[in-house]
Amino acid sequence: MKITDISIDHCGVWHNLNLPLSDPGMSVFYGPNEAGKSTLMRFVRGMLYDFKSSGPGDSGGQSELKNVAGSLTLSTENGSYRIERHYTQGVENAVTITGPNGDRVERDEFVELLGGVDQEVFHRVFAVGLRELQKLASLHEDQVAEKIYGLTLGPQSQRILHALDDIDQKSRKLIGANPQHGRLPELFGERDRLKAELDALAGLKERHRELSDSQHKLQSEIDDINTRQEGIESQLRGHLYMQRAYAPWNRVRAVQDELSQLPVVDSFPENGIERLDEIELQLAEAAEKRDRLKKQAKQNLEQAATFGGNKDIAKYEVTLQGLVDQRDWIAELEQQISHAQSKYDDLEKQVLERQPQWGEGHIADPAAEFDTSPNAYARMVSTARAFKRVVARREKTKRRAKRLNKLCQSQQEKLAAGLSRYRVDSAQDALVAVRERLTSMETLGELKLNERELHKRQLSFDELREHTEIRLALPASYYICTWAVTACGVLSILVGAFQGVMNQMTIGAVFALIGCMLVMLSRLAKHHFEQGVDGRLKEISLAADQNFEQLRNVREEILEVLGDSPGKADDGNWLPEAEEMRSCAREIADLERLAVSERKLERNRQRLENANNAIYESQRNVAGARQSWQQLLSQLGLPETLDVNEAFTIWQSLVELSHARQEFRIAKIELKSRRQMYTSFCRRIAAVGRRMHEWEHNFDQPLVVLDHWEEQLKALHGGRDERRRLRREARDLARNAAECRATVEDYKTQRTALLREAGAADREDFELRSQALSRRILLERQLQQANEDLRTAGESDNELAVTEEDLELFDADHNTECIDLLKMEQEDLRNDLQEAYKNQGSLRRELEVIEADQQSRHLRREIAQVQQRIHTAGAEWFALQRAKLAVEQMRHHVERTRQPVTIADASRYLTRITCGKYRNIWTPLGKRSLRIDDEHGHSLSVESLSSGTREQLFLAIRMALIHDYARHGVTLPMVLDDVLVNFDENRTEAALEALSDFSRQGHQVLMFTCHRHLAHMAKSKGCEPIWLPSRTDTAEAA
Amino acid sequence: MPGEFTAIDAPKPAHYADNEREFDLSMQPFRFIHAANLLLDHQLQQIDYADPHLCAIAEDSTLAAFRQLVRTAVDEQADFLLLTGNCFDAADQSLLAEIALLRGLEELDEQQIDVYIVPGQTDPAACWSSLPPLPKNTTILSGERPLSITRDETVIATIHPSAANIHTTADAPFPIAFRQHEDFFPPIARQFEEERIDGPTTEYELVSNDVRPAPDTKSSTKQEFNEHLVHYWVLNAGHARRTVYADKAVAHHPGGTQGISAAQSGQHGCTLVEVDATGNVELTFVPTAALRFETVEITVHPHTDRDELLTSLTTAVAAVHRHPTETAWLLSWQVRGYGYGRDLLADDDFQHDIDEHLRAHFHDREIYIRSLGMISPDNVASILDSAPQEELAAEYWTALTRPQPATISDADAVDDAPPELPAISGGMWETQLRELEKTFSDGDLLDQAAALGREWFVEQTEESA
Repeated sequence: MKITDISIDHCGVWHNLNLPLSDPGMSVFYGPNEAGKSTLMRFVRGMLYDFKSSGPGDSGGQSELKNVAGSLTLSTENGSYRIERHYTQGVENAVTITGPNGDRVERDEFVELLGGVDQEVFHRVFAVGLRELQKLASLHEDQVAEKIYGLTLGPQSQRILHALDDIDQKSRKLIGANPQHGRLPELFGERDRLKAELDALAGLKERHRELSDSQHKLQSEIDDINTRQEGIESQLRGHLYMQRAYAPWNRVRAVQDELSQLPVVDSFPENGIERLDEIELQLAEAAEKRDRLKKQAKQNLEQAATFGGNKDIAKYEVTLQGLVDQRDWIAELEQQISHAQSKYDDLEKQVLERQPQWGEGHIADPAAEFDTSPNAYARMVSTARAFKRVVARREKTKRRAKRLNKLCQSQQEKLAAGLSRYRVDSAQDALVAVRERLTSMETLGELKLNERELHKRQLSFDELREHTEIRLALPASYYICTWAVTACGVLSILVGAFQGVMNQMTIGAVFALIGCMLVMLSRLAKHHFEQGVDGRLKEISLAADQNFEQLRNVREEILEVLGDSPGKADDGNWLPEAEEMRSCAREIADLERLAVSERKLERNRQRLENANNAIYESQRNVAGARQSWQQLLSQLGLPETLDVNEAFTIWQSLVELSHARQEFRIAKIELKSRRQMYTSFCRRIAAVGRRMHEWEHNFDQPLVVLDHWEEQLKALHGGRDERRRLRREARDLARNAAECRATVEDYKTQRTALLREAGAADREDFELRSQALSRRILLERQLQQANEDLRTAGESDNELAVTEEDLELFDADHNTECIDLLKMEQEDLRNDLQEAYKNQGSLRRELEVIEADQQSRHLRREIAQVQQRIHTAGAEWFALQRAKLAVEQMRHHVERTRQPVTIADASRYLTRITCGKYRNIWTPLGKRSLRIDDEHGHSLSVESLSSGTREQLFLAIRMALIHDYARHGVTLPMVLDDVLVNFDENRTEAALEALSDFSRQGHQVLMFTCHRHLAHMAKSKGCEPIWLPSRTDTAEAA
Repeated sequence: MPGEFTAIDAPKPAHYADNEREFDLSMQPFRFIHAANLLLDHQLQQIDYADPHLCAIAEDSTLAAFRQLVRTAVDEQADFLLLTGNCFDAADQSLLAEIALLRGLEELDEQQIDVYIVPGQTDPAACWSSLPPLPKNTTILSGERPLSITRDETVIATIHPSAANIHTTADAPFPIAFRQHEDFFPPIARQFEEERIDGPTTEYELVSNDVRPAPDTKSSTKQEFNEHLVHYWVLNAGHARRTVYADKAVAHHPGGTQGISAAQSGQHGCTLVEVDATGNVELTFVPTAALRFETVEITVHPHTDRDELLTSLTTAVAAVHRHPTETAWLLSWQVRGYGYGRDLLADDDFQHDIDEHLRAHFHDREIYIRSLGMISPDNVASILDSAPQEELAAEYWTALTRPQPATISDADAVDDAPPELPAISGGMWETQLRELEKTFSDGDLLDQAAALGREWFVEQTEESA
C-alpha cells in the first residue's frame, strides 16, 4: 500500500492542501518549523485509522485536532482506494472508503487492507516522530516486542532457559544467596556440630586409657602383694613349725628330769589325801558346830529375859486395837468430808451462777414453780409442734391465696381485653352467636354453590337442546332420498302394474312388490329417525324443567337465608361469604380460647374462695394452738412467749439449774452425815484416852492419837513374840550340841585308821607321800602327751624338718615375735589386697560403663550419614555448576547465532546507518533488553549508547520491523517526522541512503524535515523533496 | 576349614603352577593369615539406620569381621597374622575399635600367634604409637629394616617393610615385601599382557575388578617384581581383592574384611596363605564379613510385570552363595533393559515389597535381606552423545566436555563473557567446599552433569533411551 495523494480540506493549519505523491518510494517533505509537518503526519495517521483515538504520539505537546476533513488516495495491488474522512471533535466522525471500482468499501475490508496492523502498532513503528523514536519503551508493545525479543522463543531456547532456571533453583537450594542458607551449609554446620560433639567425647577415650593404665598398675600391685604374701606365708609356716615342735620337745625333756628326782611310794590308800582331808574337815566342822550351839543357847536365854512392855497398854490392848483397826476408815472419812465439802461449795456456786442466766424478773423462785419432768418436756414438744404446724399451714394458705388472687386478676384483665373486642360480657354467648352465623354462612355458601350448579346445568340443557335439535335434525338429502325411494317404489308399482297388465303378471307383480317395499322402507326409515329425535328432545326438556324447578327452590332458600342475614345481597359473589366464614372461624378460635380462659378464671376464683376460707380456718386453729401453748408455758412456769425456740432455750437452762440444785442438795446431805460419823468417832477415842489417863493428846485429831497407840501396840506384841522364840531356840541348840559331841569322836577314830594304812605318822608325812605319788603319775602322762605332740608337729609339714640342735638353739620369744610380726605383715598385705581388689572392681565398672557408651558410635553414625548427604549434595552442586557452565555457553551461542530475523535485519540496517561502527544487535534469552556489539566485539547495553546512536538503533529496528511486516504481506508507508536531526553528517547521509535503499525495496517512506540541508541531501540522492507551502500560502489559497 | 569356603579366587595360572621350584633347605612349610582394611568400628554407608535389626548388624559388622579373623587365625593354627593397612580409621576416634583390637591381639597372644601390622592411610604409624601398650606378640612394621619371622627359633620368612628398598639374600627365606600404591597392579598386568599375549588374558587379574590405565609405569617393572626374589608381594590397593602371579612370585591384596559401602560389593574376608617347602604359595579366601553388599544383575523386558520381576530377582539372588559368617545382605540391582520393571525397581516403595518377598523366599537361609534399589547403569554421556536427534543434547555434551570454555576478548563486557565455573572463594564454607571438591572425580561430575542434561535436553522416551 502506498499513498499517492494527500488532500486536506482543513486540518489544523492546513486548508485545501493537495499533495500528489508521484514517487512511490521515498518522499521528503520540507517545511520550516511550525509549517505543519507534524500535523500532516497526524493527518496521514488519522486518515488511515482515526482522529478520535489519539496514539502515543498525539498526546502532550500538541493540540488535538478538532476539525479535520480531507482524503487520502492509496495505491494497492488491487487498485486505488480513496479514503475520505470528516471529523469534528465530539460531533461527527464520518469516513468514506471508495474502492478501485468506485464502490464503497466496508470498514472490515479496509482493516484487512491494512494487514491487521492496529493503530497502536502503526503509531509505534510506522509513523513516528522524534519523541517516539527516542523511547525504547515504545517498542515494548507485545506485538512488536515479540518480533524483537523473540518472546515466543523456540523450543530449544525454551529448554535452555528452563535448564538455567532449573540450575539456579537447584543451586539456590544447595547454597542460597545467603551463605548461611541452603542444604550444603546446613549440612556443613550439622557436620561441624557433630564433630565438635565427637571431639568432646575424646576425653572419654583418654579417661578409658587412664583407667586401663590404672587397672594395669593395680594388677601389678595385686601380683606383687600376692608374691609378698606367699613369701610371708612361707616364713610364717617355718616359724610356726618351730613353735609347734619346740613346746612338746621342751616338755618331754623337763618331765623326764623331774621323774628322775621323785621318791618311790609302794602303797598308799586310794584317794588317801582326799579321804584324810574329808575326815579332818568333817571333824573340825563337828567340833566347831558343837561349840557354836552351846554359845548360842546361852545367849538366847539371856536375851529372852530382857523383853517386858507397858502395863496400861497391855490392859487396854483389845480396845486400843479395835480403834487402831479403824484408822484407815477414819482417814478415808476425813478425805470424803473434804471432797464433799469442796463439791458442796462448787455446786452452791453453780446454782448461784445459773440463776441469773435467764433473768430473775420472770420467775422469783424457779425451783419451786418449774416442772422439768420428761412428761412436761414431752407435752411442751408436742404443743410446740402443733403450734408451729398450724402457723406454717396458715402461712402456706395465705401464700396460696395471694398467688391465686394475683392469677385471677391477671386472667380477668386478659379476658376483659379479649371480650372487649366483641363487646360482649360472656365468651360463651358470643361463641354461640358466631357459630350460628358461621352455620348460616355455610348454608348460604352451599345454596349458592347449588344454585350456580343448577344454573349452569340449566344453561347446558338449553344448549344441549339446541345442539340436539341441530345435530339430530335429518338433512334435506335424507328427505330427498326418501322421497326418491318412495317415488321409485310408486314407479315400480306402476311399472309392475303396467307390466302385469301389459306383458306378464309375474314381472308386474315383482315390480309392484319392489315398489311397495321401497315405499314402505322409506316410510319406516323416516318414522324411525324422526321418532328418535323427538324422544331425545323430550327427555332434555323434561330434565331441564326439573332442573329449573330445583333452581327456583334453591333461590327461594337463598332469599330466606339472606333475609336472616340483612345486608347481604345475592350478588353471586362468593368472596363475602368466604371472608365472613374465615372471619367467623378466626372469631370462633379466638372466642374458644377466651372461653377456656373464662372457665379457668372461674375455677381459679373458686379456688381463691376456698383458699380464703382455709385462711379463716387456719387463723382459728392458730389462735387455739397459741392459747394452748401459752397455757402450757404458764403451767410449766415458763414465761409466755410465742417464740418456740426461745421457750426451749429457757427450758434447757431451767433443766440445767434444776439438776444443779438437786446435786447441791445431795452433796449437803452427804456432807452432814459424814461429819456426824467423824464427830462420834472422836468422842470414843477421847473416852478411851481419859480411861488410860493420857491427857496430853488432842482428841480432835484422832489420827495422831491412833498412830501413837498403834506404835505402842506394835512394841508390846513384838517383845512378847521375841521372848518366846528365844527360849524355844535355846532348847533346840542344847539338844544339837549333844549330838555333835558324838560325831567328833567318831571322826577322830576314822583319821587314826587312815594314817595307819598309809604308814604315816601324822598328816604331814601322809601328804608328802601322797604328793610324790600323784606327781609321778602326772609327769608320766605329760611325757606321753609331749611325745605325741612332738610327733604330730613333726608330721604337720612334710616340707620342713627340724634337728635337735635347732631345738636346743630355739628362742621361743624371738620366734613368737617373728610370728607376730609376720602375721601383722600378712594382715597388712591382706588389707592391701582387699583394697586393691576393691579399686580394681570400681575401675572395671567404670571401664565397662565407658566401653558400653554408644554415644560416640551414634555420633559417628550421624556424621557418616551427614557426610553421605554432603557428598551427594556436593556432587549435585558441582555437577550443577558444571552444567551451568555448559548451558551458559549454549545460551551465549544461541543469543548470538539464533536471533530473531527482525534483529538480524536491524543489525544490518544499524551497520549501514552507523557506517559499520555497530555491527550486531542481540537480545539475551528470556530478557527484554537489547545488546549491541561494536566493531571490536564489545557488547554494550542500550543505556550506554549516545542518544544519537540510540536513535539510529531504534530507526534500524523500526526499519527491520517494517521489513518484517512486509515479509508477512503488510506494506504500510513509513512516516518519519524529523527523526534524523540528532545524527551527525556522515550518519545522516548514511541513514538517508539506507532509507532510500529501504524505499527501493518496496517500502514507501514519507519523511518530514525542517532542515533544508536534509532536503538538499535527499535531492542529491535522487529524491526530489516536496516543499511544503507556508501558512500564508495556504491561507491565501483558502 | 579352607576347603569349605567358596573359591572366589581363580585358579593359579599355569605359568606359576608349572614352575618347577628347587627344594630349599632353608624353607619350612608355614601358613599365615593375610588381611587388610579392617576399619574397625567404622561406619558403614548407605545403611538404613532406622531399621534396628540392620543397624545392629551394621554397627557391629567390622568388629564381628575382626573377631572372625582372629577365630580363623586360631582355628587354622596360623603361624602369624599379617594386617596390611587400615586396621582402623583414626578419624573415627573410636574407643570400641581400640578395645576390640587390643582384645583380639591379646587373644592371639594367648594362642602364641604373632601379629605383624603395617600402618595404612587411615591408621598411620603415629596413631599406633598413641595406642595403649600392645601385647608382646604384636609388631608394627614402620621402619625400613627387614624383619625375620621365626618359629621354634628358626626363621621361616622375612618381611621387607618397604618395597622401594629390597635387599633379599639367600639366607632370607620367603621374602615378603610391601607396596603401598595401587598403581602396582596395572603395570604388572600390562607387562603380563604384553609378554603373554597368546596366553589367557585373565590370568593376571583374578577378581573382576576394573583395571584402569595406569598413568605412570615408571615405578613398577617386571624386574622389581621378579628379580628381587620376593616370593610374596603384599599390596594395598583399595577394597577389592586382587592377585597377580609372576613366575615365582605372587602379589596379593586380600581386600577388606568387611565391605563399607555398596560400592564394595561382593564377598569380603581374609586370605589364608600356605607356603610349602619349595616356596609355592596357596591362597585361600576365608570370608569374615557379617554384612554383605551385593550387586545383582537382572534383565527386564518391556513386558516384564511385577510378578515376573520378583521372580527374576529371586532367581538372581538364589545364585548368590551365602557364607556362614554373613547375617545380612544389602542388594543393589544392576538392571539391563527398559520397561515397567525398570520403573518399578526405581520406585522406592517397591523396595519394601522386594524385601518382604526375598525374606519370605529365603527364610531358610537365615539371612536378613534389604534392597538398596537400582544403581544407575546408564552411561548418560553416551546417551547424550548418541542422541543425534537431540541437537541441544549433543551441543550440551560438547560444551560439557570442552576442556576450556571459549572466551571473549572484551574485558569490559564481563557480563557477556561465557560463564566459567563459579569460584569458591570468600564464602564461609570455602574450605569445606574445596575439600569436598577433591573427593569428586572429573568423571563422576561429568556423569552427573550429563544426567542433568539428559533431563533437560533428551526426550524421555524408550526410543531415545
